[in-house]
Amino acid sequence: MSEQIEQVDVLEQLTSEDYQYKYGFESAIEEEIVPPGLNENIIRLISEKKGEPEWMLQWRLQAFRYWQQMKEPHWANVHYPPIDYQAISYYAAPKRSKQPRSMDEVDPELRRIFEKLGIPLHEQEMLAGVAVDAVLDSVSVATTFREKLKSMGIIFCSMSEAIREYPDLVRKYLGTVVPPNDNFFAALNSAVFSDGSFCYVPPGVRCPIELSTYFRINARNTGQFERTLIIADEGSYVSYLEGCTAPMRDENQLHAAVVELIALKDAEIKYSTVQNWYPGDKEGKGGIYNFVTKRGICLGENSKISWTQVETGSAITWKYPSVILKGDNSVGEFYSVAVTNHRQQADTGTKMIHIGRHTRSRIVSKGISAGYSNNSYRGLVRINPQAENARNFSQCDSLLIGDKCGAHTFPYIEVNNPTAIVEHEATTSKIGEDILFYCNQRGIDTETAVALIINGYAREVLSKLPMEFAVEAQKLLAISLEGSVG
Amino acid sequence: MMTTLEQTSSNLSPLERIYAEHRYFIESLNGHNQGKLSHLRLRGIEELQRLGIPTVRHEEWKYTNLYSLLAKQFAHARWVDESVASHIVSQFSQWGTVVPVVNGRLVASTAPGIFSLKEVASSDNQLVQRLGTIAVSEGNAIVAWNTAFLEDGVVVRIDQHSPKDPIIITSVLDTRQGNVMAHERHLVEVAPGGSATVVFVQRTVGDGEALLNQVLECWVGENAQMLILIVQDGTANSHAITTHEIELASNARLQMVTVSIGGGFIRNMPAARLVGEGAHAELYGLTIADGTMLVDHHTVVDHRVPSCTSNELYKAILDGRSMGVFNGKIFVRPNAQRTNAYQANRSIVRSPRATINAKPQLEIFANDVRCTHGCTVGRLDKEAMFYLRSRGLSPAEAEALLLTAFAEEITAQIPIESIRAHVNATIEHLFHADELA
Repeated sequence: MSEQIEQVDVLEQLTSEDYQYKYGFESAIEEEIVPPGLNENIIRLISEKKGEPEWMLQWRLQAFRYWQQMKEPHWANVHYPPIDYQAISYYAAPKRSKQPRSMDEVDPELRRIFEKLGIPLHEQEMLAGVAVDAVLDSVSVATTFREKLKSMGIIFCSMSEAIREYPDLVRKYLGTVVPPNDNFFAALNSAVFSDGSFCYVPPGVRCPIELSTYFRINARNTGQFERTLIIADEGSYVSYLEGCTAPMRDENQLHAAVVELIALKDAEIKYSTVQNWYPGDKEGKGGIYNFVTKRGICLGENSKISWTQVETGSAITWKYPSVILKGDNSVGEFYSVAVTNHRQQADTGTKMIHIGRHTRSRIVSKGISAGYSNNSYRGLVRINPQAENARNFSQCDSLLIGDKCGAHTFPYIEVNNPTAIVEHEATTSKIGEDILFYCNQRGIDTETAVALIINGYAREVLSKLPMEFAVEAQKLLAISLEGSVG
Repeated sequence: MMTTLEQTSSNLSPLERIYAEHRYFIESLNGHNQGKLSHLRLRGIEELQRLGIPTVRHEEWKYTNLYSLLAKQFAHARWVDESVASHIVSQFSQWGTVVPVVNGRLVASTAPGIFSLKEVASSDNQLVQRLGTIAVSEGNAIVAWNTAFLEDGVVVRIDQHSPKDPIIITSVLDTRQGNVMAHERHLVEVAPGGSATVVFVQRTVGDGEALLNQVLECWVGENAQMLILIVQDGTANSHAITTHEIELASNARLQMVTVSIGGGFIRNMPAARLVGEGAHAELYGLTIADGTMLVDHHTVVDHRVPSCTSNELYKAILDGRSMGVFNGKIFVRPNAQRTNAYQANRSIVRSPRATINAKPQLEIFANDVRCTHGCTVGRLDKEAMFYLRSRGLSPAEAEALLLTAFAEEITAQIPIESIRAHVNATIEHLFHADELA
């Protein structure tokens, strides 16, 4: 019942006025920005500013050389004006003299932003049970819950810190899942990545809290190049939340993140995302370009990686969270809700690469397109010759609202082993007149009815999200589809 | 002249080879290179030059390596020995009116109403006006290639008064003088209210390798019906690339059944374009492959106007080192409301070295639609096997029975008794041979 009231609240919000992007504010924090452009000197500068060791610099330079030889991919079903990579500034960091130890040391302006966003960076953290590694632009400014996690042997810190303090771990795993020459955007990220989160869960440890990072893009003309690396050692478990909101602005911003997940024997990683970056205005002006490479590897036996994403933002989304099922009996999951409205374009999906024996994967993708938007599901299920008894089930549904939008499905299925069982099903439809009529008849107006139906439609995915995210995600769905019905 | 070309062409790249062949082909027309055909040929070669031969880096050819096939160095068929056709004609004569096309040239047909493209091209036959409008060279390298070598094919118009006999277009490729490639261009128009059946079969004579590039342009008028059967049961040296493009006017109905159970390299690209309201298309396909056979179906069902329906079912059984490819596209254009489209693809992989690559693809730009696709890959149901085994069938017998049942869902769609019997017998033989082995 309370859920219903919540939905009505959301709908009141969107029916009452022309809804504007809720998280669209800019904050005036002093920033340190390197000049636009990309060359070896810029990379040396970034590396130097971050006080990185020589091997890291060489790694970046190698990636830059790969990138120079690569071409921007254009196979995705998205269209955007050419990006001038030399017009982007590749590093922005809030100015500071020393590492803050407690919240009091953190810039009050910064704290105010986080409060606006509802990030529990104060004592509420404890109550909310969330450890936040807040990334404002490129440098982690505050990391909490460190002590508690540390006592359990869990390392959760910013990438720059990890490079300094845990170089062996970083060197061992960085780039093993997404190599620097994997694709154009991954190469770019490898060359210039500014910061991100690093997490290592030691053998047999079950991380007691949901780890979380809030990403914000805050400086004009600076691309965000996050690099996240999560390693779950034998028999461990970790759940990681990633959520983002960005200030409203007119210039397109490039975001090319890389996320690598490594699950060793019997380990499990659950990675959830709510993505709500500025999608541009109704005419498609502005908005974030989101070109992300996310990939996990189930390295050991009986390991499991699960991706859950709710994608409502960004002008362009190009994102395929994937799982390489290498260990025997490993499991990969992908649950996605992608909503596009106005002129948004999303090309998203997953790859499940079955290498080990008895590996299983499950894909549930729900696309909702409205306005003039285009929403594509692009997925690959590959069963390698040695993957005995592999099993896959995929379901991708599309819902169309309005007659100017598009919904597309591009599933690739490659089976090289006779013992594999692969099932794929997809449907595309609109919200049935009969269902709407049924709701109207019971006194529920059309807009409320649509919200109800959408929430029901996406339930299978939303139920996979951690509780605090599920509430936010539900609101987001309704807000994103504001004004698209009727 | 011919020998010089043969001698020099072995060092050429496939595309250079095509240019050399094309120059020779144009010369050999002895000045008969005027009018509509010559214009189309020129556009075809220009477009092919622009596009190049598709490589595996082309999305549409991701799994099918045309270059490995072209390494067999096919020569554009220049000689025609009509006598080879006679015994092949007799094989199919009980199916209907056989129209033999030897090395791309139509052998003088005695059947009324069936013309040779070569003969009618110079006349102002209305049908010729449709040439190059349904299957266009622009953006399609295979059609461009076919058009560059445009010379002959079957031209037929069917109305309510035409004989109801199926037309059996029999492609005969004579390889006794070396590996050959033939280009065929067929034009079929079914007048409003008419009903037509066209059957395509292919035979290779001699031990050489034969590649057929067949393009069909077909127009189905209002309330007309069209049945197309493609029986690909050739030997391993028979290769085919087929492009069958069909446009359906309002309330027209198309049924197409493709049975690919023999041959080497097979690539089928049927396209049904629903351009009149109330049109309905049904596409069925069956692949049974063994050895190194490759069967690639790239289907397109294009809903351009409201209120059309389509249904598609493709099945495959793959053994040995064979490869099956299925790419089924369904387009629903803006405003094509009240579309109902269904597509299913089911495959059984029987050998560790066989491969299936499937890509069912939906592209939808209208909201009041119902589009569904399903795709499964698996093996025979263990319980069904156990059931049959428990009733005394040997594993091979049980397997053959289940596979036959799997295939029959498609073959049952062949409405012509004699053809269905032929296909079923061939399939039974394939599975039985398995059983013996």
